[in-house]
Amino acid sequence: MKTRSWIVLLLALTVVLIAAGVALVRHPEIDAVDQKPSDDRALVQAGWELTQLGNCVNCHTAAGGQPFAGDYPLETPFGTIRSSNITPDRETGIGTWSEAAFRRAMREGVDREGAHLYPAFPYTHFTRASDEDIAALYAYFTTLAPVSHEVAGNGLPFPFNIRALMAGWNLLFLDNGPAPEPTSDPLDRGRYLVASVAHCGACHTPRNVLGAEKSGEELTGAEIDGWHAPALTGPKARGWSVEEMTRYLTQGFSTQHGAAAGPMAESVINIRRASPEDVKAMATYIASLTPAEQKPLDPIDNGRGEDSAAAQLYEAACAKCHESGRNPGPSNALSLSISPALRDDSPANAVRTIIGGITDYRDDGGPYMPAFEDMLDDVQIAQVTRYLRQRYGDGPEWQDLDSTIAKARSAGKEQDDNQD
Amino acid sequence: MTIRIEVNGKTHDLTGDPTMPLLYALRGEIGLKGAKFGCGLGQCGACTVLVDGKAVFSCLMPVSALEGRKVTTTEGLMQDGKPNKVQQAFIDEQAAQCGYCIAGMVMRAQYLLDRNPHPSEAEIRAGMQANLCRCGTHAAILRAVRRAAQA
Repeated sequence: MKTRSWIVLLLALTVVLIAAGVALVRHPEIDAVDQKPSDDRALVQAGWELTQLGNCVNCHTAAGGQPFAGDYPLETPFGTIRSSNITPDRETGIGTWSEAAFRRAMREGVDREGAHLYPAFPYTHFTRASDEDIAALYAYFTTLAPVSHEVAGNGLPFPFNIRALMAGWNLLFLDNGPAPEPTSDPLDRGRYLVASVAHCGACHTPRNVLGAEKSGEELTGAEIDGWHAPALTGPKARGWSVEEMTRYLTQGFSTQHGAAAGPMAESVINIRRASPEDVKAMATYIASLTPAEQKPLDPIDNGRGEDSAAAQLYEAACAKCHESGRNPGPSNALSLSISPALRDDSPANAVRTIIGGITDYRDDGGPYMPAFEDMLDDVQIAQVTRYLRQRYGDGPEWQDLDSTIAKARSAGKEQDDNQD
Repeated sequence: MTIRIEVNGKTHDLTGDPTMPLLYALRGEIGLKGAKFGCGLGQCGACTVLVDGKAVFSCLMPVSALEGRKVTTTEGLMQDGKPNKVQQAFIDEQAAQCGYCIAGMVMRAQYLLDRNPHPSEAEIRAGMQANLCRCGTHAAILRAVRRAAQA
């Protein structure tokens, strides 16, 4: 850990130096305009559909806040960054932004006044978006009701609170500019959407010490918000058919891979509203990332084992829905014998799902699993998780189970506090 | 194997299958019929009771997991033989149609108000979300929870 902090410091200093140079080249302010709601209904509709693919509302809405009024706290290794108000309010939102200013923010990560935005706003992806799609997004945002809401300051310690540093960061990590115009081939459109508006890599690509997505490791899986975002390509990726991925992205459940839970559930709830052609295009591209010989998981069941407290918990609390042949109805449940979470190197997804359940789709239709956080204590959760790993997994016993449980508990508590 | 659990302040020694759901023990062994069997899968909430003050689906809790823990059912909310304020609010709002879900709804509401005595509308909706009513009396149930919060 010590060496790591030194590396971070050294790299941070390097960036400071580079930034000092680049800061000389300032970004000009783009004149404020009197923004009017777009009356191009087709363009606004296209923009709305793209916001669903881009999951914009999730990061731009605080718990209990107005949609798109910002202030959602994004926890990064560098500190807390609060999202911007992107409603057309003139004082606190982007109501004075021209399309050119919006396009510059999307492409270069610079706000209308010329200040750098932080890459928690995934402009490294949005820079790939076409002018046409950026215009559609802009048109949609102009039609929102303005919400006067001043976003609280970021909780970033020195030196990360110096926005100009991002000039250096961008020099290192921003490959600025739109992707080549996609052809009408769904594979092409899917590749374009995944890389740009949908910004899948923001969660599924591992990041370096400076928080940039590692080039050459795109979509190979990463840790995000206490969850493991699985690999969509590379040796650890499991095979998907286009149909199965489309179903997963629109219904939140695949009979071969299980439910979209955690942050992915939030994404699915938006993605399912996007244009069906675009969703299928993304599925086509993602399915193409794994060679045909990489199949979904084969079932494993190492047997019930001796009677134990854990086996009893499993039978009473889990087996009623999860054992093969059981049918819990529209809630769905994966046979745990093919559960990807139980084969992961990390217990994160298994523990998070047991503690928090899958409750995101309750108002919207989709998979459901009750949360066990109030039903089982830490010892019982550890017992049953260990049991599941042993029975339905093929990897070594998870070592970091207790700390994972503690982290998942405190994350759940924070969420409660945010709602209060 | 004997498992000792405390229900509404009384201790009970349960023998038999340790994987027996708490719901079956309450209804079949102890004779408390408030909590209902709806789905048996933790989806509907008709079986909701409090364990150590927290709302749980008693259909998914094996009695083996309850050694030494305190269970409260809707019967245990009664005060001096009268409905407590949450139960009374449900009566006043006539929040039941068939009534099958109501004991679970009351326990869920009790848990919500124990943690947060003055919930906002959004908090009430989020807090009650785990429980379903098939008759569709949710509007009256929400009124009952609001009334209980003001009582």
